[in-house]
Amino acid sequence: MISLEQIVRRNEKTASRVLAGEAIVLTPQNSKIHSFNETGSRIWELLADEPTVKEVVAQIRSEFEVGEEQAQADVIAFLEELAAKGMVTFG
Amino acid sequence: MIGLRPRDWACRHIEDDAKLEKAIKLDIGGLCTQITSSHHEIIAHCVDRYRDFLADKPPDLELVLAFEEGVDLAEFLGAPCETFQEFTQRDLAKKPANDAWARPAPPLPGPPKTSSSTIEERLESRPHISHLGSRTLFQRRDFAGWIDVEARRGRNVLKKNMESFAVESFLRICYSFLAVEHNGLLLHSAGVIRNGNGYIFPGISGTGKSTIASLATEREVVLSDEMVVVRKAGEGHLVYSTPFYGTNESADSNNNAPLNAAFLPVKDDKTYIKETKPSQALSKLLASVLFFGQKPSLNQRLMDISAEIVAQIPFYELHFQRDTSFWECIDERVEDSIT
Repeated sequence: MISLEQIVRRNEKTASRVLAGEAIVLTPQNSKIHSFNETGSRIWELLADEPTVKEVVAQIRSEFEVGEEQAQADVIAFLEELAAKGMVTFG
Repeated sequence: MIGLRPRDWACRHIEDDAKLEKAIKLDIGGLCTQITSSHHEIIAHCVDRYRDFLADKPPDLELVLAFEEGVDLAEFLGAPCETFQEFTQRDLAKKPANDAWARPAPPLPGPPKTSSSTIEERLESRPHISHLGSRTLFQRRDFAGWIDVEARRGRNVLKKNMESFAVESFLRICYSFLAVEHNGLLLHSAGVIRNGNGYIFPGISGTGKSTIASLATEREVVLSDEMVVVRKAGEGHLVYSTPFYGTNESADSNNNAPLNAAFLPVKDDKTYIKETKPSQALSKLLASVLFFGQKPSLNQRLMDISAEIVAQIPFYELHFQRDTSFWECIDERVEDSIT
């Protein structure tokens, strides 16, 4: 379980591009191409600044109409999925 | 040398003393590789297999090929290397890859989600790839070698009796790196020229590349039913034929044309053309690229080249029946996009 204070970093091996608000991420270690929906793409963009989990949650809350609890649960679940797929690490 | 056709030039070398090294040059995607070997069979195979792509121009990559027999692998390659037996034993011991990630995620809308697909991998198993300085090292059960696109050199050892697949796979790997180095991509895609316009039909196996190529009429020049090179040229892109064909034997020789549009083929019971979102176009294009790089810089370059193609070239989804009516649909769509 990741904590809100942890820093999230994109895996430096990934290559990515955001086109018309949608992120496409390449993970060369398994030759996979991942595409995200709007919310996921916004989170991926935020990760460029190596934020803490808490900062990501706060930013998502400020941009989308979503409650604290829901935002936190969704962001953490998404980041854990990214970590499982080798796209991010936690510091 | 004046007036000497490439084929004559290549054959003349073959007739030389069998002990001498012989060389041929191939021009694929506007990029020239020189293949040198002291093994007659390797050169003869290349001349026969790639005869429409023989060329005589300064090489972008100089490759030396040899058979495993009588060769010290590490010495020939100039790098530590497992023997084929060691590699195969280790490869067999590996567990099969978990492909659970390839399943698409549930659709939008809702919480943040990802969906994943895989870069197309054809022609037997994926080689083991690593990078050492500017060298890219690769090994598979039937060949081992390296290329260095910066130094424009490469070496490869083939397992005897598997040379035909091994040479083709090795060349595909070389061209995948060479294309990226020269602002291009080696793509799993059919390609045609119609009315002077270059069109690509990228897609993974089974999407209809060969079917599209087989439905070409006398009005289309087929660039390939399986693989094309797309490279930046001036303000636009060119699409080139390759000798890396699928089921239709070969392209209508070595051609290229300005790339005007990309159509993602979808087999259907009616014919129509649909717009695609840029992210979908990029995702599908990347899924069709043949590339094995592991370096972050190379992968970002691959991403940037692909994104530029998507930004410049209109991408559509082509739903098509097994007849030639889709060609007119393509004409109409291209005319609409111009006006």
